[in-house]
Amino acid sequence: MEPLSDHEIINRVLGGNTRSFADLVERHKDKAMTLAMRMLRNREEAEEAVQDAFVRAFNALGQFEKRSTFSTWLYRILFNVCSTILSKRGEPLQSISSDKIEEEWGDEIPDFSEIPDSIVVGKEFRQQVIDTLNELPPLYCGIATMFYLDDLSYEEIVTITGSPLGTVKARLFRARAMLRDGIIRRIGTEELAR
Amino acid sequence: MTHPTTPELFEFIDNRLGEERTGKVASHLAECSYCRRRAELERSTHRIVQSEPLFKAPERLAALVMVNVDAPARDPLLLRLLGKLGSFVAMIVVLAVIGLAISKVSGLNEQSNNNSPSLTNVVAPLSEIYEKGIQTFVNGTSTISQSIENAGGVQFWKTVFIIVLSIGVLAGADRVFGKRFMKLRP
Repeated sequence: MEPLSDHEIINRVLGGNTRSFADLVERHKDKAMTLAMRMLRNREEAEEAVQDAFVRAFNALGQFEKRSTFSTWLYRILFNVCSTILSKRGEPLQSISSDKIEEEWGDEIPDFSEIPDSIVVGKEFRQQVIDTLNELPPLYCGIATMFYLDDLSYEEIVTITGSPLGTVKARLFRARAMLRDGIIRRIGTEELAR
Repeated sequence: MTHPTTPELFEFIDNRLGEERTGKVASHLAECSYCRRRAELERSTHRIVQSEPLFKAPERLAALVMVNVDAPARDPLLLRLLGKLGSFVAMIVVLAVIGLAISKVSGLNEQSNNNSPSLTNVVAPLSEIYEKGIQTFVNGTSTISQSIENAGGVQFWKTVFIIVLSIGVLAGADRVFGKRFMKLRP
């Protein structure tokens, strides 16, 4: 039997079968946990944030517009919960305005002189990518995680973060560039150490 | 063509450049090994992050969420007050029934044996207390009823009184039996 779609489960929940919401939790909990962990970097806080986000999602399920996917909608709630936790910690999400995009980038071309001719995508390289990702500031790490993990479009990230498209693009490109530069630094350092 | 800028290259990889720019960047990449490496690094990063194992949420997460979801919402103040009133009325009714039963038993015992030191002697004082309590309750409700009548619009106030009392009893039953008879929350 084919599993129910998210929207079908939501219809059931709204129709009174509230226990079906547990199926949505099971389906999305690990991706939600991954986003929360990448933004908060603390398991206890991440677990609380994910639980809180699901409870909020349940309470607001009647307002869910089925134009977007449930996961995008859930990410939006979770992103806000994580932002609040970070603000309470005294680490508010950094912001850059969309009009700075050109000013920030200009014609910048990264220096790849230290990268070996062929990138061997082995275990070590994989670890370097993940370590670098985990070192990004929470906002950029969160956006990069959503973009890479779920192949979210720019517009979906706009929906999640509530920021204008220009700002989202600026942040996303910044996140990817920071990731790239971090990887290059790591590779360069290791190459030089050999 | 000069090397594409970082945003251009990212948008090219994301298929977000316009047709004309896409063609130019693609032509450039075909000739420039340096930019091919830039693009390859980005694509490799994407693949790696995407295929990285997810962080595991607690096994009990769904259960924890459902417990929170099922937790009864706090009732409005008026309903809580009516609940207390309903509980009080229910308690009086129960006490009245017990008192009535005791007085019946004591009456029977008195008829059968006036002198024997039986249960009657023990329950008689209790019976008196209950009967006094009931009398007080009846007097109290009469006074309330009288006040309502004096306030005018007897039928209207009586109706209001019955409705409020009914809601109170239901709200009290909610508390006693832990069920949502009132269905006041979604």
